[in-house]
This record gives sequence, C-alpha cells and structure tokens, in this order.
Amino acid sequence: MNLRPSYACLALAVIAVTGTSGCIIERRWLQGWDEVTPTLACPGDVVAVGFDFLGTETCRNEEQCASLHPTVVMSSSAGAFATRTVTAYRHSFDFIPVADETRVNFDIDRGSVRVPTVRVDPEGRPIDVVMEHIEDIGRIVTLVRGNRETELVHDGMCAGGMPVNSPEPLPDTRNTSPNLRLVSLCNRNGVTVVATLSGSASGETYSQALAPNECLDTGAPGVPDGITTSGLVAVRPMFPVPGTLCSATGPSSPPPTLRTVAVMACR
Amino acid sequence: MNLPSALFLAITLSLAAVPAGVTAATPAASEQLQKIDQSTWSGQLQLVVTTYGAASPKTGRRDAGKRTQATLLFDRPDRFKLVLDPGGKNERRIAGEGDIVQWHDLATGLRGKSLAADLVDPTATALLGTVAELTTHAPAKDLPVAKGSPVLGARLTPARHGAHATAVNAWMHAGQPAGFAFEMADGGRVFVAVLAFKTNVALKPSDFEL
Repeated sequence: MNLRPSYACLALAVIAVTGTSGCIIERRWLQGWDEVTPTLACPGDVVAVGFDFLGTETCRNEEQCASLHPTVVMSSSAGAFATRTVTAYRHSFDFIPVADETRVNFDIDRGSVRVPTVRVDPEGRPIDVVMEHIEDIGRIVTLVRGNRETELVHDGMCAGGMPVNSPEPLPDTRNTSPNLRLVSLCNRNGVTVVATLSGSASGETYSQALAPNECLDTGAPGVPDGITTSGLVAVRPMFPVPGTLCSATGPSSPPPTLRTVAVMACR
Repeated sequence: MNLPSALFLAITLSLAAVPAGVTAATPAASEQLQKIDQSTWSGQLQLVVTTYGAASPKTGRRDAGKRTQATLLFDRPDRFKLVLDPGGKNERRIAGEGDIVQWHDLATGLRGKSLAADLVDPTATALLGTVAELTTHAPAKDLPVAKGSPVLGARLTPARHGAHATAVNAWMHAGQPAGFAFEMADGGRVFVAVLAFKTNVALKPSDFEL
C-alpha cells in the first residue's frame, strides 16, 4: 500500500480540533472497509464484492470529494473476475465463484480516507469525516461442495442458580449462502444431551435427546421441514453433571463444556 | 491468554455489571446491555475465563481449552485492574489508568509498562471511556433463543478497526450477565462466565495498584 502525503485537515485529525482550514474533523475507525458476501457460498451463488467509505454521508462538494477519492484495486485468484481499479468512495460488483477457494484482494493507495460532509457542527462549521488505519484486505470465498462440518463449543455458565451451557449460533448468516442448510447435528460428548434448534426462517423450534455420538437428522420423519434453516443450537445434559455448583449467593463452579458438530450442505 | 485478549476482556466486561433496579427478563438482551451501559460507572466481578485456540483447519475441531479464574475491577472512564488466577500459581495482575497499562507476573516476578494504545483493544478503550455508547462501538442484534430458554442472547459486532474480537455473544439471565463468548480475529475463542458482580462500587486509587 502506498501512503500519500497528508492534507491539512488530515494532520489535524490527530488532535481532532478545528484546523486552519476551518473544518471539524470527526475520526472514525473501521472494522473492515470491504464487503465480500457471502464468503461461504454454494455453487451458482452470486457473490457481492465492494467497498464503501461514504456510508450515510453526503459529499459537501463533488469537486473537492473527487480530489480525495481513494484508488482501490480489486483482484482475485485464478481469474475469478477481471482486476478492477476504481477511484471512488464506493463501488460494488458481482461474480460467480467456480473454484473451491477464491481469494479476493483489496489494495488501497492510502492509509486514511477523508470525506467532506454536508453536516455542520452547532457553530455552523463543516464536518469532515476521516477514516484511519486503513489497510489492504484479502478475503477467501469458499465454495461448499458436499457436507461441511462446524464444531460448536457450548461453554458452561451459571444463570442465577441454574447451570447453563451457552447456546451457539450456526455460521453467521451474513457471510453464509442462503442456500446452505443444516443437515444434521451430532452429540460429541460422553453424556446424553438434549439439543434444541431455534431461529429458523419459519420460527419453528425443535428439541431431541441425543446419546453420545448420536446425530439429529433434520430430514427424519417428525422433524419440522423448516428446521434446516435454524440459526441457534442450545444443548443441556440430560442429567445433572457432578461437580457443578451454581449459586446466586455463594461460590459457583460452572458446568463443563459441551460440544456439538453441525453438518451443513447446499440445497 | 495473551495480554491484548486479557485487556480486551477487562474493558469489555465493563458491560458486565448490573445496576440496582434493572429487573428481570422481559427486555431483550440488547436492551438489557444498553441499560447497563447507560448506568454503570464502576464494578467488581468474579469470572471464569476459558480460552481456545483456532479450530484445526483439517478437522474443524478446537482444543480442550484452558480455564482460569479471574477478578476484574473497573472505574470508568479509564481505570481497570484485572487479576488472572488470583491466589494461584500463575497469578498475573494487569492494571490500566489513562494511557498507561502496567502488569506484574507473580510467578516470574516480571513487571512491565506499556502504552494502553499498544495493548488495549480499541473497542475496549471506547467502551470503557464512553458511557451509553455501546451500540455505537459494538452494534448488537438479539439472538433467536427458544421459548423457555434460561438465557437471552445478543450478538455484538465491534465496529472499531483493529479490534481483537470480531463478534461477541452476550448471554443474560433475569437482567444480569451470565457469560460472554468472544470470537477472536485470529480464530480463537474466549468464553467468560460471570460468577459474581457488584456494580457502582466505591473505589479508591489504591484499589488499582499492582
């Protein structure tokens, strides 16, 4: 990544006060400035690729903003899409992955991006937003073929005086293909557990006792159809676990960790 | 647990204290967290922290995890003290005030001092320093628990560049925090069970000395 010389307002961002240019600097930090969705894709899925530094802001002066646009190079491994070089605050496009893994790279020409906005502070001074510590990013898009196993770790905790194991979300829906479905859920513990699936698109909930190494088959008779889109897995041991102590007033020892394995596949 | 993770937990758990008057379970978990954020100035907690490495790329499985007792004291906007394995063989004390973080490993006798900006997760710094801005720094979405679940959950996504945690699942029971699951940027997992807590406790500077 190349770093360009800072501008007057950018330098002032360090101390976040009014500068000689008469603007107010509002500093922002970003978790990630790119978008690649979904990163866990099914064959035939359209993957959205893009970046957005503008968000809900509106540019105060198009000419000034154009001079501050970052240049971003978006490229892929194995030629999944043609390399694009874009000078703008935001840009997006789609591609359909065919390789098992596709790496999507975002290379930006600067470490911070400034947006002169139409907003003003209470004294009428214009506000510039500066996003800092921006780095190049690489994302992997994985194409799911066959079954994909994900281990869920259900840690022990105390809910008041009641031992509870943490429910665990199935892979984040934002980054997961809408065509991915839960095929089965397996008990990887030495004890019998009761597993509960919730958060399905249809709103249905389903519980089933599972012996050690037994799996819940979402296609089995009696299991609601919609349960394959469940978003959360909760488990509890069928019988109390020795050594567990949960007290609302005294010392507590949370229950041991339980583990399940979610098997997902494209439908 | 590495130091940045420990410090991240220290500050993020400033959420994990419940003010008097917050009552039971009707509000969604995200609302409960916001109420806590808006009315908590200081706190004292007893915790069990379990850390896991990243899942094996071959099997998708995680290691057995390492469990550690911990205590946490915090005083917004910028003071905290985290003690890992208090009274145990591996006791480690970490204290932060303003821009400086100090640590003391009792097993080896080693001590150190660093700039908070070099060690403390930026989300943690923001949450400790700014009351009532939880959803600005970590937007929350409620998790779809089954009816009758003993806990309600919310998923927080830290919105700060460089955050060590990419997502946090907060579990609440009757208006009180029960546990926090941190998904770390390096693929690791940290789970914090909250065993006891006191909120808005009277604290003095010497409480934050190593």
